[in-house]
Amino acid sequence: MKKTLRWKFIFFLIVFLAALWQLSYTFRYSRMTKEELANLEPQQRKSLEDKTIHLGLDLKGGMHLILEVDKTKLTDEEKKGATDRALEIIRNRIDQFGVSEPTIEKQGTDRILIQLPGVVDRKRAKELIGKTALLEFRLVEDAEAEQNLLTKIDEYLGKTEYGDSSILESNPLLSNIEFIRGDFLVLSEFKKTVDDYLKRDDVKKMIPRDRTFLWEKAKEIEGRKMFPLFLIHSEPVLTGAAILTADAGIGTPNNPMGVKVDLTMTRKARAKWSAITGANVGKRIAIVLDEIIQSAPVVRERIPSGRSEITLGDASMDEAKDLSVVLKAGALPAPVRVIEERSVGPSLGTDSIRKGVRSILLGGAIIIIFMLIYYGLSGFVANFALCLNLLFILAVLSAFRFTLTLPGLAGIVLTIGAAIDANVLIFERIREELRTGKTVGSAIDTGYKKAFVTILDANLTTFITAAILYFFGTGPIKGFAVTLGIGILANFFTAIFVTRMIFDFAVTFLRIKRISI
Amino acid sequence: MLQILKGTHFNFIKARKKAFILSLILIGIGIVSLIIRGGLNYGIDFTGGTLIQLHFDKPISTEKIRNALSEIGYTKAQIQKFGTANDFLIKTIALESFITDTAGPYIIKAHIEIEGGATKSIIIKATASDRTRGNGVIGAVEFFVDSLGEKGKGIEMSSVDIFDSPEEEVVATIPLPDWESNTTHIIYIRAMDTNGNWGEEKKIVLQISRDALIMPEETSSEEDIKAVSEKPKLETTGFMIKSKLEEFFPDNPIRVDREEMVGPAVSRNLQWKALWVVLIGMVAILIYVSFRFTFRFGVGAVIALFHDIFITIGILSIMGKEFTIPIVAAILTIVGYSINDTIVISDRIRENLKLLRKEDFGELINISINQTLSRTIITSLTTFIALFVLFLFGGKVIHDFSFALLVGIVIGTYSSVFVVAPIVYQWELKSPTRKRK
Repeated sequence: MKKTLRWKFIFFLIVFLAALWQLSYTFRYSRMTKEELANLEPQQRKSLEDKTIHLGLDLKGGMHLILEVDKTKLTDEEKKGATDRALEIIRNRIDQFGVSEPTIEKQGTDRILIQLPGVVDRKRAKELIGKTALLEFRLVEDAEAEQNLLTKIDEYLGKTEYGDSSILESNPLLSNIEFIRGDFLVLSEFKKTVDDYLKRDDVKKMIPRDRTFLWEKAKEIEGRKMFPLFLIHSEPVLTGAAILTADAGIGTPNNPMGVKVDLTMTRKARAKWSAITGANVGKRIAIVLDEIIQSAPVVRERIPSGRSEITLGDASMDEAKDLSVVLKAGALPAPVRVIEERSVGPSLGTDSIRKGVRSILLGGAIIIIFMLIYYGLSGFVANFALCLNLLFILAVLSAFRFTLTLPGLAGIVLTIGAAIDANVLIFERIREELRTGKTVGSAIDTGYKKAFVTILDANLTTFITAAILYFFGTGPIKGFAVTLGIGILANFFTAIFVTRMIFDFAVTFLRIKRISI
Repeated sequence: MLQILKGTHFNFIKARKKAFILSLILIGIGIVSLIIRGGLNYGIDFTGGTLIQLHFDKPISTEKIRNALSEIGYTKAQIQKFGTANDFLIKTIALESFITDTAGPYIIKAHIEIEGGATKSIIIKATASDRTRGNGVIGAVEFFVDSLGEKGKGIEMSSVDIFDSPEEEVVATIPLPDWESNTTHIIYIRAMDTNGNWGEEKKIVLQISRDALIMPEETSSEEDIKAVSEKPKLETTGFMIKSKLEEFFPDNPIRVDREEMVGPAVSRNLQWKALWVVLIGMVAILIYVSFRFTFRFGVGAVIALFHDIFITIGILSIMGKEFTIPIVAAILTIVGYSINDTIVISDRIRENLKLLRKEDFGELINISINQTLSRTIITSLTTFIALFVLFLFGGKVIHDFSFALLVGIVIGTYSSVFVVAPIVYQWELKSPTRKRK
């Protein structure tokens, strides 16, 4: 008896400490100020955020959208992959939007789920998402011209920022830009600085009217996330409408394993494409989707057939596929419609958390007092189990990356009820057994045994409902099912295992003869 | 030890007829309320529509908002105070007009032909395209002779086939006007997409020489005409209502706290899903209870569940509460909770069937219910208290949800004592399974 009790205690301690450890991340995270968070390394921050409790959009504020891809105007052949194309376009835009941890995923065959947590400029977000895709081919200015212009702007900024008399040579702009293998690259940390400089009205005046600075998608270069900056023509030479097909493949002239995208132009666009490529051999043409450069291949020769091959160097097959999807999207923009939106402002979310937590604490306190009055010291044990229960629910939520929602808080309240129920069932049984004149030890033993079946049956049915809600519900309802389900499991552990352990301890080690129940 | 109830001997079986009548009355009242109100007050989850929660900086009356809303065209919007005098819920069936296409189509090509014969006529042919202007379907094309008039007031041109795509060839024939020699005339053509955006007009200049009409060559715009640089404007119902209301109440800033929009396809989908979830839940419970106890208990439990659901829905209807997805979740939870209570009692009955073999079945049920009565009451009471606190202080968003749970807990507790066991008893009276003593 004593031995098994010891092992039980050790097991309990491990579980308890693991739960505390898991929750310490959430605690640390919630204590951090915005500045402290900003100072963390991005990876550190991500790993910390991964271990904290995820709040649903109804508590954190944010935007939940379900889009439907309108395929009515497409032929059967074009319908294939239409959702993937729309998804790729939206991802391209949202990546630039600067939301932390956006969710963009396909739902079924023609729906896309988007979740943008936190403070979101909803109007802008929707404009970005709903816009028809615009794919263009634009000529790229050569590196020398770009270099000259950047230098000119840099000198100008140096003067205006630091004054004429500055002896210390400063390069406000160029110091952020690296020139590697023909590309002007900017580390992601400095992108905003460079962007701000280039968007200044006085700087804009220095850029020729028919030229624009545009960013390419982020690239991984020597382990660093960098954005190439291009000076390109403002006017497109062709639009996405000129594309007939685009397919990713393997095997380029110089490298049998190199990835490529085969691009075919429509019959109508062939002559024009031939003229454009002919006039720009050796130069680069940028493929621009919604003002973001997807790729800027060099024209090797005039292409009269309309069939081009874009070789992607050391890129992966996935990147080639992404590019082909984008190219097809430019040719076949499938409009998307918002069919469901649920947005919660940040102040309402914060308000909901505050009120929800306050009610749980208040309700819990009333119940704790009631249990103490009604069951005496045993009530104390039940209350301990109740607190453990809450601890375990929160720990499991954060460990398995479930989301806590507002109905989820209600689920916790119901769990409090269920936790009390299990203890009441046990205590009432023990009381009955005591009334028949049994000793404390055997009354506890039979009480637990008899209550066990009832608790199992009762909890299982609730668990069935929670499981059904989890598999069929969405968003907030899923959150409710999760806390209810976890609560029941935690309840089983605390009511059957932990409280039993405490009573057994009291009987075995303290040799109690009477019990306050 | 403190005890709420000591050795009670209530005769629940004897009271079963009164309980049945009470249940029927409660269900009846609910049905009457549903009939009077014309069905459930479905929320936008099921009807589709838009719901906006607005926070006004200063208190304002519902009446003022209603007047302002009906003046801007939302006459059917429902306005509801939400907690304080500063917070309001506005519900309209108006779906968000997600306009991404705000640019009108342009005329790619246009030319003019003369048809000879006794009465000469001019044929105007043109191609309008919206492909790079939002890719909307062309809705109408019109033309003016000599002076450009208001949008939509010109002479209509008809499509060669029908207006059904973003690029359309159109044609119009008019009798040759009585033009004098040595004059110049202009024909303006412009098109509109089905979103109501008019594009810019195209001019065709006609010169009338002394003896003939000089035809201009076919004019066409650059094929890859640059897509409009103008940003698409977006008017959602929420933004629209907010900005219009702000115009009405300039000194009372408004914040949008919540906006939910559910499209018709989604709401139909949700209706089915909600029904399925509840049905699947019931069947799963019937199977489980039949498996763990007897089929009769299973049937009794499911009847009790329908009883709970009907009464809860009835009370929600009487209170004018909205029927939403969270309410469906609450109902399923009530189902789980009620079954929980039923199981505790059934368990006791099962146990007593072994212990008290000689006891009459009705008395046995009575003993079992009385034995578990203090547990039933304590558990229901504590859960009720916790939920009641949530109902009072948990905030408006979760108010109806916790209300439904509160009602369900009371009804569920009642039904497991007064509905399930008596049904099994009644059944036993009709066709006994136990051997008579």
